[in-house]
Amino acid sequence: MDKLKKTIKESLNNFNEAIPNDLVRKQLEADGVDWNEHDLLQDKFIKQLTFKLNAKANKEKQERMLERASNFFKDALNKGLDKPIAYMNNLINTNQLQTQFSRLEKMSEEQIKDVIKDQNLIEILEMLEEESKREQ
Amino acid sequence: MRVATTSEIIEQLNAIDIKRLLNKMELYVRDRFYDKSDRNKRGFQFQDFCQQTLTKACDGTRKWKPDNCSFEQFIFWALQSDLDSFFKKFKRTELTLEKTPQSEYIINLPNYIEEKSIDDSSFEKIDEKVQLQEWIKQLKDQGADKDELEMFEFFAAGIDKPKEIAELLDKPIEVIYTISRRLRRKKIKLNEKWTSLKKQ
Repeated sequence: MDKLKKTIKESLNNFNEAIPNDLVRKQLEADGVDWNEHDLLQDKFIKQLTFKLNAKANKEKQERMLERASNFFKDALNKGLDKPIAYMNNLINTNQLQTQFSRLEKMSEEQIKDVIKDQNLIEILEMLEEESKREQ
Repeated sequence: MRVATTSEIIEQLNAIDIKRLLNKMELYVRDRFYDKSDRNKRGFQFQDFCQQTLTKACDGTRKWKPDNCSFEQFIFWALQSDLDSFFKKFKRTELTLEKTPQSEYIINLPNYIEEKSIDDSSFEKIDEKVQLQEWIKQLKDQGADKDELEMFEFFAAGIDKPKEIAELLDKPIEVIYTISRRLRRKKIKLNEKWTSLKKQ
C-alpha cells in the first residue's frame, strides 16, 4: 500500500513540475491575477532577494578567507617564516598590541583573526602562499 | 548530508526562471486555499506565502541539501510545510477564539502517516487493487467526473506526463491541467483519515 501512495504522490509531483509556464500564467489569469501589478511585485521581491543573498554570500566568502588566512598565518608563524613574522609584527605595532602578543608563535588562530580581519585578505593569502612555496 | 551554500543557491536562482517558479508556487497556494474564505489568509496575499517560503529557503532558515532533492522539489516541500503550519496555527486560533469544533481532515500523506508494510508482495497487489477501487469510490462520492477518475488511475499507475495523459484522454493539454486542479480538490481516505489531493 505504501508503494501505491508513493506512486500517486510522485505522479502528482512530476505532473506539477511539468506544467509549462504559459499554462501556469493562463490558470492564474483565469483566477483573476492582474499581471501588471503581479509582475511589479515579483520584480521588487526578486531584486530584494538577490541583493540580500549576494550580501550574505560576500560575507560568507570573507569569513572563509579569514579562516584560511588565519590558518596559514598560524602555520607560517610556527615555522618561523620571515615575511609573515615581519608582517604580523608590523600589524601588531600599528595596532599597539605588543603587550598582548610577546611571542607570535603562541598566538591562537582566533587572535590572528582579530588582528588581520580588517586587512586586505587577498594580499595576505598571496604573501603567505608565496612564502610557503619559497620555504618548500 | 551537505547543506547548500548561499553561492550555490544564487547559482540555482540564476539558472532558473524565478518568476515561473513563483507563479507555480502561487498556483499551488491558490489550490490549497480554494475552499477557504479570505479571512483564512489573515491579511496575507497569495504571493506573500510564496515569497516568504522562497526567502526562508534561500537565506538558510530552511536548509536545502542538494544531494537529497532538486531545488524546485525542495521549494515545493518547504511551501507545503509552511502552509501546513499556517493552517494548523489558524485552526488552533479559531478553536481558542470561537470554541467551535473544526472538521477533521487534511493530513500530510508522506510526513505524518506511517503504515506497517506487508512483506508478501502478492497480498500487497491485491490490497492495492482494493484500495484503489475504494479511493475511486470516495472520489466519485465527492462528485469526481470520468476524466478526473481516469487521471487518478493514471497517476496510480505511474503515468504522469501531461502530454501522455492528454493523448490518452484525447483532450488538449490545457484541459488536462484544469482536470488536475479539480482532482487535487478532492480527498482520499488513508488509514481512516481523509487526505486532500491538493496537498500532494
